[in-house]
Amino acid sequence: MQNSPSHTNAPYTLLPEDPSPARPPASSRRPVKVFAATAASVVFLTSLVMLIVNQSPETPTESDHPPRSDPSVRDRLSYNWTNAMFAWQRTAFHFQPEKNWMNDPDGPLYYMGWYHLFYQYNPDSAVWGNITWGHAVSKDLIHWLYLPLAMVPDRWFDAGGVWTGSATLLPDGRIVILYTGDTDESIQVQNLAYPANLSDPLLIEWVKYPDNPVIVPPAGINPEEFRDPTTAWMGPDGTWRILVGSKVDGSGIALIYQTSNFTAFEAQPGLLHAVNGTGMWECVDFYPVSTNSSNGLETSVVGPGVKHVLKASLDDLKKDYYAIGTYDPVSDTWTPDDPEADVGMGLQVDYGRYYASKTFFDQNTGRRILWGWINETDTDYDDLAKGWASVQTIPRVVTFDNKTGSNILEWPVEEVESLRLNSTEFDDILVEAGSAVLLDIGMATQLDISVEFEIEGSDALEALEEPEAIIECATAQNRTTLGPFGLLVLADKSLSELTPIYFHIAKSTNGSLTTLFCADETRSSKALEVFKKVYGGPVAVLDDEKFTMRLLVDHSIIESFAQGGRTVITSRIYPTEAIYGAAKLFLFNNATGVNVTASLEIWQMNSAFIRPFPLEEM
Amino acid sequence: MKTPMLLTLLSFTQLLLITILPIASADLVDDTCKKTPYADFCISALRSDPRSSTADTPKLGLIMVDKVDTSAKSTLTKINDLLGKSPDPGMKKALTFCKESYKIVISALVPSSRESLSKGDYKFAVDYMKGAAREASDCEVGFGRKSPLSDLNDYENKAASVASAIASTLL
Repeated sequence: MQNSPSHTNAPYTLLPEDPSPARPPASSRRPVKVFAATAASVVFLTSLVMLIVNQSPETPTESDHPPRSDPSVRDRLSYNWTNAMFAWQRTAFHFQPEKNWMNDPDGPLYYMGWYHLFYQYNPDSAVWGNITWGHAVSKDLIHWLYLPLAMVPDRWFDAGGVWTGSATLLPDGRIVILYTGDTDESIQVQNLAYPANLSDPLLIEWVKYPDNPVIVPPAGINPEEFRDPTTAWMGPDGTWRILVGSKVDGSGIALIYQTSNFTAFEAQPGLLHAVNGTGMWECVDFYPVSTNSSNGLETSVVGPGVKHVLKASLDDLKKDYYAIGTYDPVSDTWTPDDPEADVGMGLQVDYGRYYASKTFFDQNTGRRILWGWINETDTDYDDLAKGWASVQTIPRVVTFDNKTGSNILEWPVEEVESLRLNSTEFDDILVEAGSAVLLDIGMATQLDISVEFEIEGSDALEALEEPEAIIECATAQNRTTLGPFGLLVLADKSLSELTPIYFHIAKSTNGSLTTLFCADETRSSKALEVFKKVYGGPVAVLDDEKFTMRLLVDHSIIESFAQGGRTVITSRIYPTEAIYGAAKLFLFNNATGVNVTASLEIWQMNSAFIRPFPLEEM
Repeated sequence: MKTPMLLTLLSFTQLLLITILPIASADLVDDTCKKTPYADFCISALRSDPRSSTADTPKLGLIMVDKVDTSAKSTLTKINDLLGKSPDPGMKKALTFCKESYKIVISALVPSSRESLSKGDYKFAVDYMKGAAREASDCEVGFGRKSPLSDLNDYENKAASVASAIASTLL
């Protein structure tokens, strides 16, 4: 490895009077094994009270501020963020532009040795508006280099904004992009664009088809509810199909368009699918997964051993939902395997702060890769003050979970592991009921954490008599017999700020155990105006499985994966104290009735040094 | 005779149309405002603008965003005025905070909300108008009990909350 842990990892500079972040001592690159008995790097805190007693100031609910009559409260209302605090919030290895606003990922593709990411971008401000297509490239999905804007709103057919779209790689080597343009009369149309020069591996220049739009809103569809064309797939007749999301009478729908040349499209009479009551479907995505291998599938693949995922971003809930089902290429319809868990009613792609996700088939490595947009949860004022808003997740590989047969698995691309520096291992740490254990790992703001938990004495599970129905994630302070237990991330030593990421097990009324995987942001920051809630969802834990988590911690973003990616939660965290060297990592067990043992491997993560492409050197 | 009857019929029809048309649009104003947290405020604010009689829901939202904008600009003028009168430190601190709040309402939150409502990606107006309402109420709280901007902050809070709610009905 060529990078030492003490390398400053940020393009920003701290003000001279701000404290410099405490860097970890240069450490050996070999993993250091620590046994519980030696206690050299484990400080055992029996802090029963610290966890169950609310240490922070009153926790505001998500929608209201506390009643006020005291002028001194004013000082806490809009937190006095310093430049150092804002600088800390920027991520080290997640994709984000140098400044300003970003939203949906667009047209991801691999071409001539480079991965391309385009993204909704406001070149003028840290709030949404004036939308263009930003552009960046990478050799490995991790180390990104910024390129010039790919498209700006310079035609009548996209004067109102160059909105979301997708790329299709054609068998003859051409690339076509279909994107939504908001016209000069605020009508949503679908436009065609293609590279100016296919021999430029960076695909810097793009041409908009002069006779755009290629698709206009059909009769019966609101011209302001018609957007986000998908990647095309080929049908049995050799022509292409794409989907455009919309809404009719409160039902989210996926409209089908057919083409042989990407300039002339024909609306299909039927819909691929619709679900009552789900509202406008944005960023529809539709792709095959293999049920009998872990390889990704090119978007046109159909046949035995193949199921299709249909996904929509629900405008009214700001959540991404998906369902797995069967696609009939003859009738161009899709049917969910479980109609009660249809799109918008069942599984979420990610149970946290996450939206507008989109996959692409990476023909370089044969993987289906998923991007997702992560918005801020601080205030617009804060975003404008710090000059930027939003990040993308680390790209995730999507596969079919053939152990459960009913969901996908998402896992960070293995290229992220190239950022790993030194690691620390902990084996079989006992975390007694009602306690927390500080993990001495040095810096705790850029981490790749793998942890597995076992509940001591599985008889405890059978001995549980009373059913404790926990249908959804509640705060980590709700103690029950079997949980919650997990990690406290971005926590300061006194636990005045902390973000618990945890499992919560309950016995349901029919006697079976159900597990929830949760992230509790309610005490993550003393800044009152940050939007903080508890996120999470159910996760299947099979009989032969331990409770496993993987976390990517990167300053103000945490991506948390349970059971190999069966349930994923992305969190945005803005601590006021648990930053830089003051941020710590703990294990915790808030259960009343069981101890847990935990084994972990924790890597310090390097920066990805995301920066402009050195074009002048070409 | 036929002519007077025809005339009467025409007049009656004309009268009917004159009364029905605004009622049809006024229904949209009423229906829309019912779904907002300050229905009466919403109705009187919208009806004070002649465009509301023929506006669809997004345009009603835009009319309300205009109110937010106009009011914010008046408030900013008043803040600058008060700052120019050498206020005591506590008042000055509160006024300065309010000035920053209203500046971003005008420069960022209003334009984004306008773009969102006019172009059909309504979720941004929902969020940014909520943000504007919050800026107004945070400004008010900063004064404790003796705010010189109470009426203006109250109006802004209501107008922005209503604008956000109108955008919400479009999702």
